[in-house]
Parts: sequence; C-alpha cells; structure tokens
Amino acid sequence: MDAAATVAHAGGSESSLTSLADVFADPKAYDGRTLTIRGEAIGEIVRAQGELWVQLNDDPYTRKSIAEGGAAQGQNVSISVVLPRQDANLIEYFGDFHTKGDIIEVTGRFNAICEEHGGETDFHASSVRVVSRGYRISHPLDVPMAVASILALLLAGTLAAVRRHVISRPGFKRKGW
Amino acid sequence: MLLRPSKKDYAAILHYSGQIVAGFGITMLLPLATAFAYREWNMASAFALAMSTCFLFWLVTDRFFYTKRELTWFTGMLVVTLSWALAVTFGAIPFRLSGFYASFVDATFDVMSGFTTTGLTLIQDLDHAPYSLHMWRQGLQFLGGQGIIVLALTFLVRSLRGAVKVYVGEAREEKLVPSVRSTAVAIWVVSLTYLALGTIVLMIINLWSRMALDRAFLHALWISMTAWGTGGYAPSSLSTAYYHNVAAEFVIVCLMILGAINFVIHQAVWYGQRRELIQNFELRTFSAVVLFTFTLTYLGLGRSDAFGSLASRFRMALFHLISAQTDTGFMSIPSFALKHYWGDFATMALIIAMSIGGLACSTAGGIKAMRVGLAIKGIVLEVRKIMSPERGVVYEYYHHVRQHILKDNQVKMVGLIALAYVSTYLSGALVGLVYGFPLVDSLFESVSATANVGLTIGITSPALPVFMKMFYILQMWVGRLEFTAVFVLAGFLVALARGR
Repeated sequence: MDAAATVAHAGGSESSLTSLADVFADPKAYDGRTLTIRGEAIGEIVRAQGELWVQLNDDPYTRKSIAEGGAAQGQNVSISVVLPRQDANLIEYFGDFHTKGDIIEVTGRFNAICEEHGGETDFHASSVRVVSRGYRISHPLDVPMAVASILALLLAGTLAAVRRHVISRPGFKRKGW
Repeated sequence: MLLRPSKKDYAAILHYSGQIVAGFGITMLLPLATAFAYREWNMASAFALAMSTCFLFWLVTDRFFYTKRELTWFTGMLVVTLSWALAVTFGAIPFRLSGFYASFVDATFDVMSGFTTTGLTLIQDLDHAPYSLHMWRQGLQFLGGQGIIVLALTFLVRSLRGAVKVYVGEAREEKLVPSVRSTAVAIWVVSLTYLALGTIVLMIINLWSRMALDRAFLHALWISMTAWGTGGYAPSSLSTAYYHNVAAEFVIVCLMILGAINFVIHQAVWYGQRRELIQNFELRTFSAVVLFTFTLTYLGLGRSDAFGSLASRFRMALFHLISAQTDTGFMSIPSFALKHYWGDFATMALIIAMSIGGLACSTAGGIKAMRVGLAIKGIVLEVRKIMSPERGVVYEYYHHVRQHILKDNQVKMVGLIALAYVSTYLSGALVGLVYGFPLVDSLFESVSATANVGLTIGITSPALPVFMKMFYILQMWVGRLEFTAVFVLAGFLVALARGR
C-alpha cells in the first residue's frame, strides 16, 4: 500500500484507516506521517514523562479476543498512543481477560523513533474518537474440564492418603529397588 | 566400555524424577490461587488438572520405582534431563488448555522458554490473557532462574540421595554453603529478597503512573520476577515499553544486573565480603565485557543515524545492551525498530553480548563471563610459558571469593563448552537460513534462543515452521543445562543401543 495514499483526516472513514500491520511492515514509509488508526484500548491510561499513554491494539482480536472464545490468529499488534489530555476521559473500557476495551479511532503522527520520548516507538494523537464502547466479557464454565480436574484431584488426593496410611503403619518396611 | 543402565538405574531415575515433578506441581498453587482470586474458573480447572497430573506421576513412580539407592553422576544427570522434560510437558498443560496457544508444541515452546529464562514466546493475544496465565508464565521464569532442581532440593533433599549430582547437572557448579540443601535455601533467600525489593519499588512507580492498586502490584511482581530471573516475559505485548518510565527502566536494569551476578558473589557480599565486588575476577570480566559491548552498541546506533539525540541513543543502547548481556530479553521497542533502525553494527554488538551472557551460577545464560575470562587467562598462560625459561614454573591466578590457580583441565573445559555454544549458535543460524531468513536475523534469533535471551528480531512467531520451533526448544534446553546433562542423555541412548 502506498503510504501517501493512506494519509488520513480526523474522523476518517474505513478507507482512510491505516492498519498497524502495514505500518510495522514498512515503518520507514510511514515514519513522521499523519495517519488514522483504529483499535482496542488496552490495560489502562498510564501517566509517564508528563504525558498520558494508552496501548492500542489493531489486530484480529479487536473483533473477537481469545478471552471471548475467538480463534488464535497470531500475536497482538500494538502501539503506544500519547493522548491529548482533553480526550483521555473519553475511554471507559480497557481490554483485558474480563473486559472488551473501547474501540477507538486515533488521528495523529506515527514516530518509529520518537526523540521527544527517549527513542520509543509511539503515536502522537491529535484527536481521539470512540467508535464502539467496550463491555464486560462473560466466561462460561467449561464443564467437562471442571469435572475432569475435580476427578483428577480426588484421585490424586485419595492415592496420596492411602500411601500415607500404608507407610505410616507401625513396623511397615518399604521394599525398594 | 559402555554399560547399559540396569533396572535399578531406571528405578532411581524414575523415582527421583517423580519427586522433582511433585515439587514442581506444588508451584502451580500460585497460579491456581490467582485464578480463584480473579474468578478465572476455567484456568483454575486447567491448573488443578495439571497439578493433579504431576502428583499422580509422582504417586505412580513412588509406588512402582521406590528406591533408597544413591544417585550416581550418570543417573543424576539423567534425572535432570528427564525432570526437565517432564516439567516442560506437564507445565504446558494449562497453557494449552487456556486456548491462548495454537498447539501443544507452542505451549511446550513457551514453558521451555520460561524455564530456561529465555523469553521468546508464541502466546497469542497476550493482552487478553487471564491473570493466572500471566502468573504462571512469569513464575516459570522466576523458578527457572533459580532452577527447578534447586526448587526440588529445597523441599525434598532429605529423601534425595546424591543430591549434589542433580544440582551440578542443572549447570550449577558452585555451592554457596557446604550442604546442597542449605545452598538451595540460600539461593531462594537471595532471590526472594530481591524479588520483594523490586516489587515494592516498581509498585510505587506504577501507582505514581496511576495504575490501579492490584494491577500496580501484579505488574511490579511479574516484571520483578522476570527481571531478576533474567527471563524477559512481560504481561503486555509492548513488553517494558508499556510503562514509558525511565525510573522503572532503571530499576529493571538494576534487577537484571543483580540477576546475572553469581549467587556465590551475592552470598559473599551479604556476609560482609564487600571487597569481592572489586576483586572478583568474574565480576571484573563481566564489567569489562559490558563496557566493551555497550561501547559497540552505542557507536553502532550512532552509525545508523536512527537516534538524533545522545540521550535517547544512550537510553536505548543501555537498556537493550543490559537486557542482551544479562540474557533477559526485555524490549522497550518493537522488533521492527530493531530490524529496520538499529543497523547491522549495533545488532552484531547485541549478538556478541547475548552470546557471552552473564556470570556463572546465576539466573543468566550464555557462555558466561567466567569462561571468557578463563579463556583469556589460558591464552596468557600459554604465551608466558613459551616466553619463560624451560625449567620455570608459570602459574596464572584468579580471585573468586578466594585465590585459585588456573588449571589445564579448566581451560580445556572452557574451550569445549564455548565450542559447544558456538556450534549451537551456528546450527540454529543455518536452520534459519534454510527456511529463508536473512543471515544476521537467523544468527540473532539462534543466539537469542541458545543463550536464553529472548530478544527477537521478528523471526519467532506462531507462524514459525514446526521444525524451527522444535529446534529452538532444543537450543534453549541445551543452552540452559550447559550441554553436560544433555550429552549424558546422548550417551545414555548410545548405551541403550550398543552398551553391555
């Protein structure tokens, strides 16, 4: 994809979005350019170096994470986003095992090596828009696995108790190899 | 003449391996408790199942292979290799059942990477992984840093006869105190102390960064576990870049260096021998190597023109060089930045640092500073012998807690082990080349696996061909056990085929 063709504007449509996978595959083509990226907010907002940061993931798991029962489709594709202070409160849900994070659309500058932040790779957002709100993820119990684990624990516990009973009998002498 | 192992040998190997596996199973209580605390019921089932499997294995081996026979060097080494293989297999059960690994090979890869404190990972969707899974991943690296045999010796030494042979088999050549169990306990005391200190300091930094109390604590604990254990696993796909904090990086750098220091030196300093920090030959060699490799990395980054300011160049060079030299593997940049911006010169400097590694009898991997120092002294000794009168007696000394005379067989062993490491580095690079990866990338990843580092230039991913995954697993294993125990396994297989 031509980097110039992907230069986006605030509140960009689907066609103006740039995927992080494309950016990471050819970072020199995108370095220092203004882009619009979309992805899931992860973890929490971290305050550091006088800025507010959020991790943004743009990978198949933004649609359905493994925690929601989605298929394994490779490793996360993530970037650190420096948020404008006034927009930080827009994000309410942050992705983790129990939570689907807000899907946010961020317009700003991609820095493969950011001199302002000690050489880190980051994305300086000039605007943030919440595309869809996150939610709590429910995890249905895997009944067969739960039953199997209880049975295995019971078996191991019973055998250990029998072993202890046998070897602690007075006068018992173990035969060995 | 090769002797085929007797039935009694098999019984001893299985009996003691069963005990070590049981000790390993106990460690799953920590992630199990985490799963209960965070209501991760399916993970609780997975850990309960894996733990039960460990205990059942122990009960079966205890019932059918019970022995009071003392371990020989041969059987001791085989106990180490078998225990590692079993622990990796059983440890992979919760990984596979979690759904975050595409196959059992991938799960096994990550357990081996964890135990060997490597840090290369094939986990998928790490950022949505349950806390109990993080606890297990990070905990594996903390346990692996000390050694699973050390862990078992702490609990089981009263019934493990010939414990020193399995202790040495796990690449721990030095005892801190005369008894093996006391040594194991001393290693745990040192490790838990630094873990507690690291956790407290990083937690304060995390709270300052506005993280919630429990996440601030857990992240601090997990990063301390893998920084001290020189492992490199992190609870975020951004690795340590998640924190964006120079103070946190400084603490992590300190923990990595402490983790890479010989437990014997820790012990000596704890008991008041502070001059050891200045006099110790291995520590001095390590410092010289770090200075050398840091200079190369810094100059390399200068040549690449990627970093405009000296401060950012210094920060990036220092953090990643220490991460490489201590064989930890934390990255505060994505792997594409390493590949596209660092340039071959700085990348080669990291390869040199990774291949040498930290100090012996520490949580670090690689050839080890002690061997590099002894090799240099060996060369100096040979030159001095040639230049001295023929009847003259020439010695080389080195200070490691006390004065030692360099012996010929030491130099020979150093040469053999270094040769084994270099051969393994090159073999892995060759495999990478066969699969079409560039030379520098292949060499980087191969050294990273063998020296138990975990830095990646982007080769290691779930899409990696299965053979390469298996080869990296083998490289991590032989690198961590420093070859001897694995060579004995090869000898065992030969004895099975050709022995009497």
